[in-house]
Amino acid sequence: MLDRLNAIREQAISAIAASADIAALEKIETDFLGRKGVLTSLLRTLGSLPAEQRPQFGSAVNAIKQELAAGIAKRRQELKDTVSSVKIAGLDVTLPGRSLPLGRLHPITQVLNEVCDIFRQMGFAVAEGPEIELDFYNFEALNIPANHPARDMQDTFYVDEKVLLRTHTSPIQVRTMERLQPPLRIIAPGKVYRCDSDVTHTPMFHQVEGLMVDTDISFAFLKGTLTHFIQHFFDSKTSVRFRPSFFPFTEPSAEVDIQCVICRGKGCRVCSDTGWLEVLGAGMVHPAVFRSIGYDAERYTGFAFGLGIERFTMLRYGIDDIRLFYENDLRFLRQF
Amino acid sequence: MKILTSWLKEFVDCDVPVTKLAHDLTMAGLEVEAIEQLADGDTVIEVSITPNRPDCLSVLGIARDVSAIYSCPLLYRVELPSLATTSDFAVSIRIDAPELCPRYAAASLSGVTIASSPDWLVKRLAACGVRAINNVVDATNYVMLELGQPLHAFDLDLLNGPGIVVKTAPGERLTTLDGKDRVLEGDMLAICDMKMPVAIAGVMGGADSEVTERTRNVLLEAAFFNPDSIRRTSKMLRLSTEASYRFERGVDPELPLIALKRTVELLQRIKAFKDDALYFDNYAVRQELPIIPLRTARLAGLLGLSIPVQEVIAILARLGVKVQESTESLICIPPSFRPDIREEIDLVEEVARIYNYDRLTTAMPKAVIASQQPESRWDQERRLKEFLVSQGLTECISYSFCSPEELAGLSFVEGDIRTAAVRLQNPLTEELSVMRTSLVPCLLSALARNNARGMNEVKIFELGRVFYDQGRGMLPVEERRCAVLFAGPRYTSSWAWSKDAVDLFDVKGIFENIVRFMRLEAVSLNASSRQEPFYLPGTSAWIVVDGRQIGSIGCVAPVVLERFNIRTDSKTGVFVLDISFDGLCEARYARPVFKALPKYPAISRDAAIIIADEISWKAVQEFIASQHTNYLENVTLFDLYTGKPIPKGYKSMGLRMVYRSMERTLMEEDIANGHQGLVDSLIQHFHAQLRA
Repeated sequence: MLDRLNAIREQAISAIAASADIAALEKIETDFLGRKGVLTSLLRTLGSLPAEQRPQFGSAVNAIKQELAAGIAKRRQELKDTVSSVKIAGLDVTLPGRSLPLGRLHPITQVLNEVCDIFRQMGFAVAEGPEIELDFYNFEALNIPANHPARDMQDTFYVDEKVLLRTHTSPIQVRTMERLQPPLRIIAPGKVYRCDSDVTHTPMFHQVEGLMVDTDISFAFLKGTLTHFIQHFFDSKTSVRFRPSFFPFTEPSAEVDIQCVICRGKGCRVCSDTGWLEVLGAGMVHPAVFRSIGYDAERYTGFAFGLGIERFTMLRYGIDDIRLFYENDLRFLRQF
Repeated sequence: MKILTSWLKEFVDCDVPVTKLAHDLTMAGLEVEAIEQLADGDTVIEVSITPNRPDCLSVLGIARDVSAIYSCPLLYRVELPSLATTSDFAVSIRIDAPELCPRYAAASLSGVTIASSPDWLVKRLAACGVRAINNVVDATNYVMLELGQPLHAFDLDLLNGPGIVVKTAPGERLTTLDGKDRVLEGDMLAICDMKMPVAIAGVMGGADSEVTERTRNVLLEAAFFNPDSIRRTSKMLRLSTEASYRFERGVDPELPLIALKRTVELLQRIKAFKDDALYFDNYAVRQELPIIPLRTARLAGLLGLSIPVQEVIAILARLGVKVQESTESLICIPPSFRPDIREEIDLVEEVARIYNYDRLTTAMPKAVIASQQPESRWDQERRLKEFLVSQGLTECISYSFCSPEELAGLSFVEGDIRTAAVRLQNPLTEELSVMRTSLVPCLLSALARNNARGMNEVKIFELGRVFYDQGRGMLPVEERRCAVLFAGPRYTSSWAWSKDAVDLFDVKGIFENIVRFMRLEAVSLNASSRQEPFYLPGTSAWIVVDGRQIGSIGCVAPVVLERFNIRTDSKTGVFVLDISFDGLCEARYARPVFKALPKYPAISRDAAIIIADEISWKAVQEFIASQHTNYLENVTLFDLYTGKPIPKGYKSMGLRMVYRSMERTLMEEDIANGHQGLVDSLIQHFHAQLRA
């Protein structure tokens, strides 16, 4: 009897190994392990054996059943794997993927967003205003009366004697202060216009200006906020220096220089061998500005700053001609 | 302002290497832009002077700041000449417009020998960018560069009278030193002799009384003019000179006599003149100095740092400010050469500037957390841009100004708001002379440029403002718009994609996705026979929100493409979506509504019908909706076909109807009649046929 059992086992094992597909394997499973299968029928003959042989024989049959079931499961997995590998035979995984086309944001937009995000994380809210402005908001309210020499600092496009293209986004600060009371923390991103055109100037460019007004805002906070911003935008080791300058709407006023990002302060063509790059204008809001919009200039102090996005973008990517930004050449735009 | 260091050292005792000097001046607000070594060992430093510091437009001014920075002695003593009486002075001097000319001083010199200036003087002038003319003129320029007082020399014998009247002289003419005839207008201030104008005050002298080699007697003028008046005149005449540049910013009103004396001494030194000059001074309106309290607490609060009072006083004193200590404040009187110091904040800046910004504290502000504004449209704009990028479009930014021809290229009809473009008074060029009223020309120009450079797969968008004129003195209406342009192949040439060119349904798909992305309702597309003038007839549709047109999609007409130099030889078209972003933002937001998921399966039935070409999918959809067929959940167009064996003028539409009940599983018999009825009525209504 045991010999017979062994013969069946051998037969089944070689049949499993030889099975070519799942269907053949399933037939083997039925033939050997099924309800009418060979092993099941053998177990049914158990009664005809002497009582003392029955347990030994029974456990031998069960052991073989388990062994074959495991063998069939293993073979089934092998066959499944073979099937899928047959389907993908000859696949060249280095072929380019079937990706849907993806566009690009203009590099100016990308840098503008990044700059705004840094300030927004510090609690500044975005404010906007018209690009064509009244002389009042662009100049008068900012302590730049008609005939003031400071008007020469910005070459203005005029529409008529009262209306002009804003030369900075500062009018937004004035409009916001007219609307809201302190405390104020805003940034004003947008397009600005000056009649100027060469390798470093375009008649239209982008600015982000900021304003913080409260009862106890000091120059120390201006330095802190802008240093934080610059070290976030460039890197945490970038040296920053503040030096006196003049803007009619701020006092004390400052230009903010960073250590040249190209030569790391050693001196190069970009920084005119000074090791420093001018990147921001800033200052404490001039009391005359507060007076012109009706804030109590004794109670409130504040700081304001402004930066050109084109300059930051050029420094970040080493772009040497500002005019590339407005040619909309896809070979340029797709690089960013 | 170019400064020779050797000249500077005549005014300040300071022995600092030039590179350090340049750095320290920069850090004190006098930005040094360049340092130039001269062959003779001297150095020129070029300082950029901000408009608030007219005092620094001179060697003396820079020397004063150097002295303040290093606390080193200024080598300068004020010396005033003694004045002649009116009757002794050769010329009568009258000021008829004292508000425009508060002070007019003069010196008369007899027996002057006109010659070239000595080399050292010519060199100094040249180093500062001033051309030598003759000893008298050179001496006036020299003193202007040195002290900051512009002077003018008249040939005394060529003045009628002889007498000087300072007045406005509208309508009168004179020829200025540059040889141009000029007419005086309005309140332009003139220096006149007893007959006619001989100089435009503070701007330029007249040719008729010019000092020449024949000159023997000279009248030197040193005045203080109203800065606004000089600036207005200079602007009106479009004439800016070294003199007007200084006067319009503010010259020290106490300087004229000092400068005259200095000029006379220089002329004596270079042997242009031997005797003594006579001096005369008409100081009609004395310039009062302000008295400004500087509160030490305010200073500390603004700077975020308490600088010891004694240090503050020392800094101010070094700057020439007279300081008197009082309780809690310093009473300050600025010097006459600092017209920029008018109020407390000006003193704060001076202290901070000399103290050095880098020594001031750096700290982060403490602030109340407050959300000041609801979400701005800026955020919506930013999200839409990012969405369009994810749809395969690249963002363009174009100038907001364009040429009138570009706008005209779109053939807007008369009365269209877009023909009312804002025109600039002073454009850079005619190509950039009007503010855009549409983004379409911007994208067409970008397409033309890219095509010309070999880029044919163009899928671009721009989101920006356009401007509609509202008339003189009024702000234009600004509208944010979004334009999308497709041209060329749909996909970058690849093994994985078809080689088809884009068509109208690419832009329409973008439009549909924008509506889905922004979750808008009541936004629809309406085809109409009246369409945008720049589209090919019959290829466009309006975008309508609540019955209001806010944009369109369409295929750009070849004649328009030609105007923008876009090659029309390709068989494919150029497709545009042009929409008001503001209009989209004002459209109703469709808040998502939750619907329970269906528990029972759907049954779908297909029907292909052959139908006349001119019947739109929209008409079929609307008809099906009007039939209210039982259990019909939705209908999709799964196939659209023209060509054999479908007869010409007809198309085959493959419709898939999906039926479902929310209450139970539908059986075939539940929908059989309804479906058959729907198909029959479609065939009847549209005179269609079932496709076998």
